[in-house]
Amino acid sequence: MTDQQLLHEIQIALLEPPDYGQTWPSEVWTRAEAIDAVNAAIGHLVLRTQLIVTYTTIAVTAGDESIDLPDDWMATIHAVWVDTATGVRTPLGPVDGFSADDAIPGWEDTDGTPIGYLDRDRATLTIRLAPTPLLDGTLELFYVARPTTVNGNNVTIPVPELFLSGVKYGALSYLLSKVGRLQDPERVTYCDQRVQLTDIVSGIILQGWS
Amino acid sequence: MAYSRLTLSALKQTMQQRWDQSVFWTDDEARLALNETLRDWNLLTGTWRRTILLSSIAATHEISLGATMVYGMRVKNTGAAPLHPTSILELDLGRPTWRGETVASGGAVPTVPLLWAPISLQQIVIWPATAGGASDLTADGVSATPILVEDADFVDLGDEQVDIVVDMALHVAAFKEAGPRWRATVPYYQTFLQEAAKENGLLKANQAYRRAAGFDQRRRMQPAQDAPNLLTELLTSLGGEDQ
Repeated sequence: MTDQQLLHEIQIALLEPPDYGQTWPSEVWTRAEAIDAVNAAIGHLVLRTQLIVTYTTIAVTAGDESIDLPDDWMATIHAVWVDTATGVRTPLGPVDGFSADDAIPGWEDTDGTPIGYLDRDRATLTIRLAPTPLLDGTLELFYVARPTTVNGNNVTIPVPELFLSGVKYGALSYLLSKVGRLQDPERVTYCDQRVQLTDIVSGIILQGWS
Repeated sequence: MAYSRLTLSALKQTMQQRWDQSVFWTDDEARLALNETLRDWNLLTGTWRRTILLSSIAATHEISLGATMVYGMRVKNTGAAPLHPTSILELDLGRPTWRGETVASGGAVPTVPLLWAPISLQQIVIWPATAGGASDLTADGVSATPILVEDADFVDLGDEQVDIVVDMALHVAAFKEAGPRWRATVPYYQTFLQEAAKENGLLKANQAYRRAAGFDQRRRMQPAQDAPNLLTELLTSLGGEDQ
């Protein structure tokens, strides 16, 4: 489904004359606002459900204390440290500063083979390994990437079609909660429930997946 | 389960029959509502399945399921046993060297792919990877939902599911109306969820899903304690139980 087709359906739901999202004559919402709502709904769905995972590798030099994450990084799913010299792979666990202090005392000062990663405990879009790597290596990273932004110009919605109701009702929730003459808390609650339903089902489908 | 081949035209006609008032939707709105309903039905129950031949690249562990399959449920090697499902974490913990291994590696590495793990909805990895370009791997999974465009386009539905799907489409179409008209169709939505849960036992076990489907309301109507029953009625009539 394209963004225009989805905007067309949203227009129908909001009693705007459906024209694939081109005009919003009620003047309650603008076209840009509707597109923002769709993008926000896509972003939230992808982040919450982790439906689409991206794989990348990052070269790391011995002693690196701060490693840049990809620009489109939103959340880490799984990480593995690969020692360049031996090829030995070590799965990493998520830690923060406090748990690293407990598990690996001196992890910032004594270099070694990493066993954990900190991706929400440092500057944004950086990751640190614990302990700091003693040798050169590669970080294998599975992560949730920021989805492609739609712009209303016939861009394909970057979500598997089965989950499109989560996007549609997420956008409708955003638009119907706007303070104004068409604010509708009852349908906002309903839309939120439809979004939650998508989350539940995706959780069931992905259960047990790493 | 008896399946019927239903055209878009027939489904739209049934929508009108199920609404005993002036029709408030256009043909296009009915079509979109029906497509949304079918999509949600497939999401909740995985009704539409297919088998695809996986095209693997030599020595590459990642395989895409392609555009026609939404998610995979079973991977099989033609002429051999099905692959066991696992996860990336289990592969990394149990077989840290898996990323460098193919069926030609020798030693303890099997000569056919043995394990598969999903890495996202439409992407899986296999271990060990195939050595050549050709693949005998097939995947069973849930396919993309049929999309009805022309009046003659059809979909296969179980007879007992037709009214549920049509009623849910009415509920979707009524969303724009808000107020009493839309509210009157909310039970259709709950019936839709309840029937989907019957089709998919995993859904029914989920507490949040039970709430959304109204299962918990039914439970409140059947209290575990002090529920009226024939015995209390008898005792009351005999004057043996206070009201």
